[in-house]
Amino acid sequence: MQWGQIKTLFIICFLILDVFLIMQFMDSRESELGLLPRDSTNEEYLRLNVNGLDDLLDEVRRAPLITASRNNFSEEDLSTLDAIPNQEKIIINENIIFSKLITPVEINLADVDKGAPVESLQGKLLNSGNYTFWEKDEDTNIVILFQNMGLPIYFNKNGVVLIQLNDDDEMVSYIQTEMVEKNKSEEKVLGKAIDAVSTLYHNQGIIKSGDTVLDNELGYHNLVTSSDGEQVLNPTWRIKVENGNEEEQNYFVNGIEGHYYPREWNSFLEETITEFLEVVKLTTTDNIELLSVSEEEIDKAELIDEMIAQLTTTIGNNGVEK
Amino acid sequence: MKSETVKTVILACLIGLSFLLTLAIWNYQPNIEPNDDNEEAMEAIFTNGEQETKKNIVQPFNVIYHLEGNEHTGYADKSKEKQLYEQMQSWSLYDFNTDYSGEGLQKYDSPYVELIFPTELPADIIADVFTVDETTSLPNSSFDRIYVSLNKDISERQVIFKSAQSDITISANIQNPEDEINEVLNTYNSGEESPIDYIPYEVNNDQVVYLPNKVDMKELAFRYRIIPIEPLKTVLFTNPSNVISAEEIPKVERFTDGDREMIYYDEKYMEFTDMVNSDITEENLEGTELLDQTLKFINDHNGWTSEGKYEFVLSELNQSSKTVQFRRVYSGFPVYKSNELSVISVTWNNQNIYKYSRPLIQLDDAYQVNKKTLEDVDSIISTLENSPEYKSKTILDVALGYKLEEGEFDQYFKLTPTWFIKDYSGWSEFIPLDQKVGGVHNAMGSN
Repeated sequence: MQWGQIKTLFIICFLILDVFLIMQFMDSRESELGLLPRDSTNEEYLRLNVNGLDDLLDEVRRAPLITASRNNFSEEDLSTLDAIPNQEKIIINENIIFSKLITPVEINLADVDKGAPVESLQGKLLNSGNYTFWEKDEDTNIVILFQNMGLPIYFNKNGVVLIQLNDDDEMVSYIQTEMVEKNKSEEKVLGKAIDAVSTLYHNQGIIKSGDTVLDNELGYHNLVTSSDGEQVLNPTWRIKVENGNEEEQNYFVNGIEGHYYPREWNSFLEETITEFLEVVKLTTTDNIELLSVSEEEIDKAELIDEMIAQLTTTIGNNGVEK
Repeated sequence: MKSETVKTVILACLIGLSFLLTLAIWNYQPNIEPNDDNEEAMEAIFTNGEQETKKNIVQPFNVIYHLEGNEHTGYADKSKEKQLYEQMQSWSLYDFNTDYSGEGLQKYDSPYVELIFPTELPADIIADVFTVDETTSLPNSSFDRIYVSLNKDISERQVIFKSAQSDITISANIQNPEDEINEVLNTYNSGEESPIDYIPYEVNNDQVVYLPNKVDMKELAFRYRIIPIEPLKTVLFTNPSNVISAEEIPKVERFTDGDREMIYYDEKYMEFTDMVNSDITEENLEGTELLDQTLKFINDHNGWTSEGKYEFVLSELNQSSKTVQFRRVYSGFPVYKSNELSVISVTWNNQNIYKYSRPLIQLDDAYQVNKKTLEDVDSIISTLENSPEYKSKTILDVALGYKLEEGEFDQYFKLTPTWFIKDYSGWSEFIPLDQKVGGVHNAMGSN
């Protein structure tokens, strides 16, 4: 009888011990998930001061870093390109396509969202599905598409399509570059969109109290490109903010390390075209390949001059410099 | 009876469960990217490097005795200068006085000793480098020269800190001046070699520089070791496993994680830039803070890779550009060329490293010694005054130092004693009048 009571006592003791151990175990489990412990008071403060935070993506995202390099277009690419009708194409250094449309073609941008591929470009652009719409620059009438490797690659000269429209919004020419993936790291746990907003508000003071976050999206960005075009693309949050003066601006925050990218985005178009212009100026006729060019015997040197003239007017086009 | 059996089973289960849970908690390891573990654990320090103190890194480049009869002399053996400076660091200084007028506390009557530092130092560094009562408050000024009177009859203000650029002077008293000054004089007189004469020469802005005359210097050759760059990957990149490298052009390798880059030149030196941190902010850093955080940064990875007779000495502390530089000094003579191989430079922004460049070679002992005949001071002065090249330039400083260059076939490095001229673009080799200007420059440039 006494032994029975002791057993009951033991059962109760171990029951309590086990409950405690299970709680401990759960705790250590959870601490893994909250890799980046966030300051909840900071977040509350943020919610009180910045509008539009309820629409932020809330799930924990994972993404790899991508090592990419310039695509030197293969024979296959070139034959696909060659088959595109109504365009005279020039390929410089195997990696930049300049194309001129023989008769301008209308492209439909009316219902294309930012970050979505442009359906109407299918069959008019090499690998058109790999590029998504960024914006139309009203001053120069140039449409900017960013290459997309699962996520859009923001402001990268090596993965971009610039389409020149005429006054009737028809495509008259375009420039295209492409990157190929060389390597991919394992997937990394990224900071949430709200962390990016918090960086912009608390650390950088870029978002001010009363501003509204309009949009957030995950993409890729990087600052360093080696001369052979190889680069490491970092998962990056794009946070679009409307400030008190109703001006809208995109800000970029690294998704893994959480640092803000201080960069003058407005000059991207000008910089890119200037760089292409430099490439054209420095190239030799040996590095130029012509596809579907109508005239049989064309002077490549003359072609270069023509392209230089055209790019120069685009840059000089009052608009580019905002 | 039956209920007892049930209880036994329950108890056994509970005991078993508690065992399992205990084991599970003990063995539980959060799986935070296990692939990275090896790399994170990679040594983030130079195995051959060491740490430095502020006392040791702040040193004068020249120590000159101004004796009666307008005589300027100094030690033939530069290690004596260091000995003297260390002696001075142990003095107790008290009763600091600041004079803003620019008059009064200019200089002493000879004899006195002058210590010349290569860069302006904030006044509050005095408290770190010398022995000073903690309650002393120092003015918000700077200095690059220290004057110590050798006149035993002076009862106060034996030490003066002065900047060549401003009129502010700080003076202090020495505890037991007689003993301390006697000691200085003893150090001075104890030299076996006869002292070197310094010849004063006036450069830009009425500044006087002292040129050592008839110095016996030798050309030296060194074997060297490569300091591996690997630790820097861990120090400078947040996530070393994300870093890729590519050979930019032959012998030049670029490491990048997308936002930062480190360029490694021919296994000799490197330059790091954090592009994320490139926006210029208007934060204001005190000079001593700047030096402190730079020292901490380099100490943290044992970045002082000096050995034997050569060491790194603070050579620039620039508050406006937030840049701190340390120059290689061999036996008391600074190496003015080339900067890539002899200067450790750190630039800060937003409390983080913005740029870091440094040599990555470690010189062993000198194994070959040649005599080198240097131009004498008279011919230097006459060239500076007569050569069309130097006449048009603003000369800020003239000094004797070393030129460090690679020997033939990558086998060794060579230190050659050379005269250097400083203008607004920095230090450059002195070109004697009789040599054709262009040719010499180009030949040197290719190194």
